[in-house]
Amino acid sequence: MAPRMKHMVPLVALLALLNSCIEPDPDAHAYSVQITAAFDEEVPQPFYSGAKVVLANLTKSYSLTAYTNDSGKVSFNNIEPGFYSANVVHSFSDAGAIFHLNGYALLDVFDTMEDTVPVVTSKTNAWVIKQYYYSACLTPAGNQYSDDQFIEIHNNSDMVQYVDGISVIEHESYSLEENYWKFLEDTIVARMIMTIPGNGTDYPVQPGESIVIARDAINHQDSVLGNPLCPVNLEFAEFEFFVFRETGGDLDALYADNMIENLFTFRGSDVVFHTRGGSAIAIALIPGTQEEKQEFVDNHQVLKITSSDRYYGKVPNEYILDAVEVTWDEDHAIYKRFPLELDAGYTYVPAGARSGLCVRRKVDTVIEGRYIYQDTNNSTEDFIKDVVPKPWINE
Amino acid sequence: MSKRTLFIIWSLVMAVTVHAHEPDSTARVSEATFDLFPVMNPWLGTTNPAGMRFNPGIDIGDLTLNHERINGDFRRPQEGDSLRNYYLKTSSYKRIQNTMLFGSFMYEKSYERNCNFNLVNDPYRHTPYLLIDTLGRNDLYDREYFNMRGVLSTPFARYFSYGLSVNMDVGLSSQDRDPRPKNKVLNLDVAQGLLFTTPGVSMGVNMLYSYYNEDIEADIIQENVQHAFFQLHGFDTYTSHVAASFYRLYERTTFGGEGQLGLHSGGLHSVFGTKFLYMTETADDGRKAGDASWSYMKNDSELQVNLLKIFNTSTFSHGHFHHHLDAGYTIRYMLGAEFLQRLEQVGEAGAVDWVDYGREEKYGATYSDLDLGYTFLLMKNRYLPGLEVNLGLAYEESDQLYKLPDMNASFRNRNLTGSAKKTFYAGRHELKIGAGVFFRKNLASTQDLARENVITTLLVVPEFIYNTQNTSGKWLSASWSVGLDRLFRKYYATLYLGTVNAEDGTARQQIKLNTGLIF
Repeated sequence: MAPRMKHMVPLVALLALLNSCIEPDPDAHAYSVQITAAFDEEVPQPFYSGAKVVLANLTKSYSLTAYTNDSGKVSFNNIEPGFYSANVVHSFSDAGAIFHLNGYALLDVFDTMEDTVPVVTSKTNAWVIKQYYYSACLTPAGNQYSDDQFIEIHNNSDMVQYVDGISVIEHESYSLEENYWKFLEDTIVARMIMTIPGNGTDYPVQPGESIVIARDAINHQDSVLGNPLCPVNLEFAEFEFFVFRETGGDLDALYADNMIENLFTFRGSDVVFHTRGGSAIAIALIPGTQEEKQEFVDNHQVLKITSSDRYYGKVPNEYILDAVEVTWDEDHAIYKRFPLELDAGYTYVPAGARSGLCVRRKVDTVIEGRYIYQDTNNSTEDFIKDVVPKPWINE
Repeated sequence: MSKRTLFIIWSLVMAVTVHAHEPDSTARVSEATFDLFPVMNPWLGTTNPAGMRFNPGIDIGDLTLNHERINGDFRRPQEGDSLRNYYLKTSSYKRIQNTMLFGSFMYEKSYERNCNFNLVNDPYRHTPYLLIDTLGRNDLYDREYFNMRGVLSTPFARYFSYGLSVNMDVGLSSQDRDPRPKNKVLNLDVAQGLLFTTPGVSMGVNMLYSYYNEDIEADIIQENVQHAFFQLHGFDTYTSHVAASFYRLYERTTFGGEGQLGLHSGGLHSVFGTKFLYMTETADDGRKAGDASWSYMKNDSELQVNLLKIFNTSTFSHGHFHHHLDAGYTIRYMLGAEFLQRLEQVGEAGAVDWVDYGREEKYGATYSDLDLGYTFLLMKNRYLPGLEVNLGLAYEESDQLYKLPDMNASFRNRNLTGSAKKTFYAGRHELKIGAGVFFRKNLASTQDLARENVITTLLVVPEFIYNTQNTSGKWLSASWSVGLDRLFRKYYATLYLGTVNAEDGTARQQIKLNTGLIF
């Protein structure tokens, strides 16, 4: 080796050493995820194909969609490691009946994997929760205004329905941790149950129409009683959550009929839904007269061991007409409360608390002016997020 | 400005003034003399503080007050459309026996107006892991910074010199509209070096250490309002969190070193060098549910960087002429990883915390620059230039990639610069007129994105367009100075006007005014 070349050796070696330190080519992992939709036995094999499977990355706000093959399987390739939810949605008609199939599972993808997502066949009812406004809004002074919260229930059928005796249920858990009650089969646990009055035929609702249950049935846009920045006027809400106290506190509105209080574990001066999305709600029809409903609630209560003498209500899944798994955000979606047959998905208001926005069910079809809202028992699929609340308006 | 700040500035001004009462050098100098130091001592182009021993043996200092204004729509998407910058700076070269000293202090206040989609102090410091909002509220970024720098070089034994350099930046910046961050920034650079010198050859080696810390507290002042905070991970990937407040902490540590070989023969002074840096930067978030909390720290990302630089800086002097050449090739490798963590219940009491599931490499980038610069100086006397001509050629390459979803972007640009400055002397007065041009030609560019979302629309695509547009610029400057008899050597004032025009019709203008005293 020439002397000059010898001097170059250390320099070349140094450069090679330095260059080898970091390779700007990330060693990213890519996995395959195969999901098998485990359908009920009652689902005919020909309907196994075509189920929509949505694999959603819970951290990064994106999702991938594929459809099952004849065996009910679907494969996703090149999946980055992370935390995912798999949502299976399918519907088919057979012998004149429409069936909705839903499945939901959480997947931690840190290797190539196969998993099975249980899929349940759910029934749909005449009543659906069309709109749920819980986020509240701001006053001109920047204070929270949540008196305008409401729930809208829609007659999704083609017949006159009576809303008498339908109960609104707020789930016990605020989705901050694992559902304490998941050991209870076929039952949900409520922190609040309030029921629409009536003896069965007092409150008819025409097909394609809806009723509103307001926290306070007033014109919230009124600058004296309400908040001029409020998005809704609930003066003509059919019902309101009124909490009677000797000391007053809750406003008893003029036109709306008051809900019957069956259970209110954290009884305060009014019903307040969690503005960040902790309150998952359902509507149920507990059998019997109003007195029998109350008796049922009184006789089906459960004590939470970790709490101090707080009793909550147990409601069988079979009484539930519709449920909406509202949660805080994607991070909290892992703490699911409602079983798959009630709501296989979840929804929320991404704009957050006090945004004045709500979640609203998608329109499925309009038949001769009658709005039919999508009801696949999967609120991830069925609801639109961050919409301006518009009670009674179909769109 | 706080009373403490005023006191510090007053103290420094007084120190300078007292010092200026006794000028210890009679050489004729000007503000351009500071620019001559790297020409006369090519070792100042290295990071070895011991190299300052080759400085010209004059004592010179300055005290300057500067104002800069930048306006225009040719800007990066996270830059404001205007910048007002004010700074007071004093610096001084001094020789005490054989020990060379340099010290500087700067106080800087700036207002960057109408900047959007940014919650970090400097979104363009080569990290993809940024914290942003997407509200586009035309914020004002108010920054107040101090910089202190001290360098010494002292000989020991017969052939050796030791050098120490310490540089520190501390500052606070804040925005005026929700979500409004307060960024507390600390940067510390320390270098120690050795120099072995013989009459014809010099060899140097030095270590480099840096620590950067940016502590961000972003709050929403409007009560009961929450906004989405986006933690970017490169290209359009992000995680987001809706909250009323957010904490983020960047910590970067840099280690490295540089070796130099200097040649000195007749009028030629030349230094060859190689620098290597390894840096690692982490971004951590203090968040739980609705509000920021360092009780629940989420590790967001880690960025590793290698930097390699090979350079030569040479000066050939004969008579009144200096020919100065700067050549350098810099390559920077970056590797970014994201931490996979989930907020989970830990323990029996319902407590939750972020649980670690691993670290995933996702982002890579290579930036390289080849720079050639030539300066010709015709001197009026030893420390006063008469004519200065600069020519520059630069070639830059940028390659970025993200894996899963696969995305990449790359571009190559060629930059040409040219300028000339002529100084006219009339008794005690000097007038320096300068003009320059700049051309950037995009040679190649590709960008492959996986999808379109709010981040690609607001940031990724506009940034790529900014970097790949052909641009041209021109500037003019005029400087006047007058010799002083008492306290100071010279008073001077400079006006600089510059403009950059892009091929899409956007432009940006710059005005700089500075005035100062030489002592």
